[in-house]
Amino acid sequence: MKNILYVEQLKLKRSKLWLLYLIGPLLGVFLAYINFFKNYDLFMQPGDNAWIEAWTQVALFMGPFVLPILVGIYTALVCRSEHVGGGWKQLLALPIKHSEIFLGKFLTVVKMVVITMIILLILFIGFGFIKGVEGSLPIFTIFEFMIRGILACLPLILLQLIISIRAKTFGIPLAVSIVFTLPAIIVASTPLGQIYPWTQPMLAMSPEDESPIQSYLLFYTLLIGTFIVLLIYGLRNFTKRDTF
Amino acid sequence: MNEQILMTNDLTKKYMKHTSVDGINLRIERGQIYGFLGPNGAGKTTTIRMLLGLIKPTQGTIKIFGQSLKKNRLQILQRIGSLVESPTYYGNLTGRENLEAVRRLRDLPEKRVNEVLEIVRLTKVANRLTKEYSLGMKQRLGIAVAMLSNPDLLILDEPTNGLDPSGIQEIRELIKELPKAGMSVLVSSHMLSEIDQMATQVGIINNGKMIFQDSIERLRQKRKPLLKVGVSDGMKANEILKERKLKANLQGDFLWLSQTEPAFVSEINSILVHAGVSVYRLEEVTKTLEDIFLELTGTEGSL
Ligand SMILES: Nc1ncnc2c1ncn2[C@@H]1O[C@H](COP(=O)(O)OP(=O)(O)O)[C@@H](O)[C@H]1O
Ligand SMILES: [Mg+2]
Repeated sequence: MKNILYVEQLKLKRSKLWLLYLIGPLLGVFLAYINFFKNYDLFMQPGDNAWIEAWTQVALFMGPFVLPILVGIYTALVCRSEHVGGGWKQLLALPIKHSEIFLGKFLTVVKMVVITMIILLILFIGFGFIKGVEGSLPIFTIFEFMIRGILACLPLILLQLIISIRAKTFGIPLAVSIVFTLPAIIVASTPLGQIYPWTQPMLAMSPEDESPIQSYLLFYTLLIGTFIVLLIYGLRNFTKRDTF
Repeated sequence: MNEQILMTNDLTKKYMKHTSVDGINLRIERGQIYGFLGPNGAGKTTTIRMLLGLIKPTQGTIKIFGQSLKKNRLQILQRIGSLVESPTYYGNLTGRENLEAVRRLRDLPEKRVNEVLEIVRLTKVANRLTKEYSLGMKQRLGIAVAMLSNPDLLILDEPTNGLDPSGIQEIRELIKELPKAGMSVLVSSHMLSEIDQMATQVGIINNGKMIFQDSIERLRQKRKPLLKVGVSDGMKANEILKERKLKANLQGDFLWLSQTEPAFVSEINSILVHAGVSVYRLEEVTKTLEDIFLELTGTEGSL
């Protein structure tokens, strides 16, 4: 698996990935702070921590909007080189389990999401200090939100990966991501939100008192359930596939 | 010796109603260069895809190195190097990085990259991005990838596609050297002349069916010379020969006979002339492999 991950990384060389790593989180953090300071009095109730309230805005913009689109681009990117250069047939004719190839691509996208989230965190804290957000920075709480956000991305990554493997063009997985992320905010306030992969990241990243989730136990059970179902489906679909 | 390393039984692939590969029994022995010959759309690539486990047969079995492909795919692929259809390349990587990717995945020693680069003569352009490579260079890179692991069986699907004559010559010489190192090769092509110049064994596939499978010598033996006789009256000449129980084949103004010994030729000449038919040509004609091919497949010679 180490070699597979190394090679997946190698294939991304010269793909201007760093640009995406920067633009996505920058967009999320900017929109969040603009909205936060514009409606400062509305968000800040007595006793609220300013950092937490600002992060809520990040979760709102990143979660249902920037993050799903980034995931869509990342998964399309790890499959594009195979579609364009005829890589699938070479890769799958090597003495490697097909399931490992699938998992290698999945873990590579997970890694990309982790990097995105770390950059997001750094930008959030950096801009926060520059803008003079008041109160003490609850670094561990926010770190926890970030970890939860990453975990909640896993079903979405699987779903987009399954689509990207099927679709030969870059546009289709991206279009799917955009179309399904549009109603994400609306879906979030319904019970369906807890199994809707485009809303799961936002729900997980939001502070408890700001999200519509009643039971976190139920939410994480559903999250793990979605993940397992998609993982089994994705693996089966990939290993049984007959068109390479 | 004569160890069978690849064997298929009734190998069949159907797409909807269309049967792309129809009950093929491939036999390849160690050290052979097996030329897999057939016109475009005959089913060569589909067969090769099945041999590599990229697609599943509708019917039939595949045994490679004595093992069932279905059960031991990974062990078998460990010993195979392949190039399927158009060569694979990651355009944003250099030639060397492309090889490095496969080297890592196969866990091979680092020095192999330089060795295969040297073999396919890409060392000079190894550090250039492959999207800038010509088709011939990509093709050679594909062959380098296939050879990287020093496989026991090398499967090359139309490796000379898109190459210029000197490139074709180069690949041909390269392939001919491989059995010396104990390698066996399955190489497909739609050009008879190409297979003729490098294969030791030939399988001809047409419309998904194997129509010939034997040594290249056997194919060449079908090239027996014929006697072509030009006469003033073909019909009459044919009648005369028939009366004497001599089998001839009338095609246009020419009679074709299957013997060419000098005595036989003189006899034919004298028979016809005495019967009042004027003979203006007696010619020994050797069939080209293309002609044989035409007979076997009913398609034009170059396929
Ligand atoms: N995925 C597929 N779906 C439907 N038909 C296919 C598919 N792949 C190949 N074929 C058909 O199978 C036949 C054999 O194709 P192929 O094996 O590529 O021939 P060759 O490599 O000898 O040129 C062709 O008629 C082709 O159209
Ligand atoms: Mg082909």
